[in-house]
Amino acid sequence: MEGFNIVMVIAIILFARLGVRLYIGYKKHKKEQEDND
Amino acid sequence: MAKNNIRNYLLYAFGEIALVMIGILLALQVNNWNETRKRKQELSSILNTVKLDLVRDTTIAKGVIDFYKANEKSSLQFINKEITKDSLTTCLLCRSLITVYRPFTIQTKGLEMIKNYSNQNNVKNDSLILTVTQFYGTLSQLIKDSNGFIKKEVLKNIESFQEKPWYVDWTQGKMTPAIMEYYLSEDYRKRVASHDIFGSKNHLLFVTLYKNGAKKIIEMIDSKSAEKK
Repeated sequence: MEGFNIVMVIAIILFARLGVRLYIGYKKHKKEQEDND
Repeated sequence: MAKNNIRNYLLYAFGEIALVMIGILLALQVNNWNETRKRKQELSSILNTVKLDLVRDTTIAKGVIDFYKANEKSSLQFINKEITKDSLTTCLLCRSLITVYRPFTIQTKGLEMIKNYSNQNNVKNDSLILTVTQFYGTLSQLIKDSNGFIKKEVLKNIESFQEKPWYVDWTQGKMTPAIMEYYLSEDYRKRVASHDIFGSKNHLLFVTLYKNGAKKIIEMIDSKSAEKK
């Protein structure tokens, strides 16, 4: 388990969260664009 | 309108990425602090072990120094031909002057821990660790060699005694006229002089140097731990 420390765990969680938020944000932005059209 | 929307989304994405970066940097910083704290704790425990080693060494060194100082005092009586038959019967130490030795063994547990610590961490700037390793590096080999020389000399003396007809009497601590005569002979005087060089001159000097150095290092460790508090 050497090298798999707390910083790595936090980084994985943050990047996963970033991916989800960017996807949701993109969806929301697309929906807003469709509504505007 | 669409362009404005894309710009808003990119701004939002950039904000999210920046937040993630800040989060990772914070985690890294906390991790660094924790690592530094752990390293300091480890170093403090190692220095404590080194101190305990040195305290034990100085106690043993004191015994060795006292022994060889007394040995030197008696040896000089033989070397300067001041010894007489009367003084031989009262001088108990004179009977085993060249057939007893006191080796000095250095405790190296702390030194081994320092070596491991130095391999894992950068200690180029730590003057105390450098002083400790230099101190052990210089004196440990000298003392080890000196122990070997005295042991060899003492064994050689005992082997030469084995060939004498009074050897068994000597092992029983008896002082027969033959033994007394040998103690006053030139051959014994030469052996005493030779043992004096290895024991009272070299060995005593190295052990005294070690003891004084160890005391200084104990003071340095104490002042470093006092600084932290």
